[in-house]
Amino acid sequence: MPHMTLDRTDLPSLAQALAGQGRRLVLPVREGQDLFYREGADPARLDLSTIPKNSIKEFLFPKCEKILEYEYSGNDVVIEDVAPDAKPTVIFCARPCDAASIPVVEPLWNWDYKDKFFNERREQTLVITYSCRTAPDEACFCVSVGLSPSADQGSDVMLYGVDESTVAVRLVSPKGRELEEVFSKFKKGEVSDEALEGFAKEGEQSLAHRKPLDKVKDWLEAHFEDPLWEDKAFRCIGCGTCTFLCPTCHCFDIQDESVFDAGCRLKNWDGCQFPLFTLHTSGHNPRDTQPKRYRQRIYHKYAIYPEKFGKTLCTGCGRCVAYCPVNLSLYDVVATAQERAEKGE
Amino acid sequence: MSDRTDKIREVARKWLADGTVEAVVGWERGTYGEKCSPVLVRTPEDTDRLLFNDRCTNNLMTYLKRDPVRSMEKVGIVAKGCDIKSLIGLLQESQVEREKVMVLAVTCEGVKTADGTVPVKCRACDVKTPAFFDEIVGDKVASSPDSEARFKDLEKLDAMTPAERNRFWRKELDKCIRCYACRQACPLCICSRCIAEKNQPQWVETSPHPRGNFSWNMIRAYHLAGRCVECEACETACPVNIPLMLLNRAMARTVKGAFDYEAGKDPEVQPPLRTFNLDDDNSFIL
Repeated sequence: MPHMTLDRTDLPSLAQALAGQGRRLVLPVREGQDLFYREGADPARLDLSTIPKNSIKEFLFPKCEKILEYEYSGNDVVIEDVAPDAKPTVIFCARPCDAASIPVVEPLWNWDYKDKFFNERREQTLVITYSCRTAPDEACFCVSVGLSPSADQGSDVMLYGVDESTVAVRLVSPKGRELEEVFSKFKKGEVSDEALEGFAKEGEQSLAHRKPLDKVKDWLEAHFEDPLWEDKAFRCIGCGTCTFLCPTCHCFDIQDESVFDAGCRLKNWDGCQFPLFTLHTSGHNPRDTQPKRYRQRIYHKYAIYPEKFGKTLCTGCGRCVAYCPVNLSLYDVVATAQERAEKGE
Repeated sequence: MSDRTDKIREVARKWLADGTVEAVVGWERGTYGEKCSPVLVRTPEDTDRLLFNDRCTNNLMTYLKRDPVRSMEKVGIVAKGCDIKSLIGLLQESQVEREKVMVLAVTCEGVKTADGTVPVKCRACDVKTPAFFDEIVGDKVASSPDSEARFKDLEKLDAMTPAERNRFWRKELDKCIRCYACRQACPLCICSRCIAEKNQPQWVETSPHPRGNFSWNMIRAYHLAGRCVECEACETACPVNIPLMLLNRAMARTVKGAFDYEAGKDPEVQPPLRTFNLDDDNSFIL
């Protein structure tokens, strides 16, 4: 089946057309030396030169979200539910590793409790993904976790920059197919399925040096105590950059903030790299050292989450590799685990 | 630069072999781009991991405040002049005992940031050849600090009206996600339990909303007034690119103006905000 193509220069107008249907628009723009996904940015600033520093997580799971309001009245407390601040949204030119993170975390938000805040945002969000042609950064390792630079997991529409001036469009999900009319207005030509297959192959080849990480889970289960943790995590300064930039890390903290008798309950981003995260009221802390906290992050992603939900809690976006201030690379750690598993160590 | 690498290895090997130190903290080759990475070397054989080049940007003094280094009897630490300024701060505040640290100073022609540019601290550097150390390696490098460099970026803030400045900071601090990477990277953020983590009472709101973000970023900056040695570790670590050095340098400029004091110079002198002097200017009170 052929796919329509459009001019690359029409991408900002396309973004505008999609947003024009009453949606808030999120797209990657340059700020200094880095790109960031920003809400409400001028589409003319669209920048596809590399992977943005933040993930799209904040548009589905904001860093700070009000979940209820309360007021004391005598000996009673009146609790008011708060509706999620969810608006129709289009994330334009997400990267495949970011789009892929949505189905990865969906089961978490719908496990013992259905989180209406995530779900309503998810429902109202369209993900238009701009496929990587080759890995945009040397930190990328999506192929190691079963994805690829052109993976369509979690995307409603895929865009492929097939050459310098042409972008091919593939409508992926039912939600995406409903947008055919909007895209058709910008149609300039067609491209074959085979052309896109070649495009995908090129992307995968650019990451041929990355290992599959299929043996990591079993290795981890047998090596909770191992010198590797102390050795690698000595340098970890517990800054939490990895967890906050990660598209799949989803831990949060609950805070009540009040003025006199009335206040609200907030859900804020939190991270397992902080000592306070596991500090008990008694003063005991089961993860009292940084290597233990670092180990936890690897276990959650590569052993605990796969055990519980059947998915690796990592899309190989490489942000925790690229932006760790002390260059403690998650990929190096899990690749070491894989190597040791292969050697039977 | 490779010459310095060889000499660092040689000194580290000697210190570890004769038991002078339990371990040496230094830099090793990183695995991403040209980045270097902090490493803890415990045996003479392992010293071959150590190196020095213009990507050794991390301020390793931050490891002195955390385990396993904090609990060691004696530790060696490889340090550039700028890093030694933070050690001086830690010594002034009795956070580190001088006899527990062996400083392996390295002369430095300046480092480069991730995108290859020369940071302000290197342009303004007055310690390319450190003066405080136990051993020093590398050829002498003359410092020729660009006196304008430090406070140049503050001019655009000075030119703003208070309302414009408020809008500027509101926009920048809105980005804050409260990961506290700034605090963790800072060698002089020394509290074992930060005020941002105290909740009885809750001094600082932990939520990343504008009020919480202003509280946190203001208190972080204030706690470093007259202490910050401008190593830029906080700004480098910040995952959302907040220009934290503008705050830090504004504090440094104020302290310099009020007390004629610069942090990180002399371990025997007390930072102005830690001391009381009868001769201090009290005119701002009355």
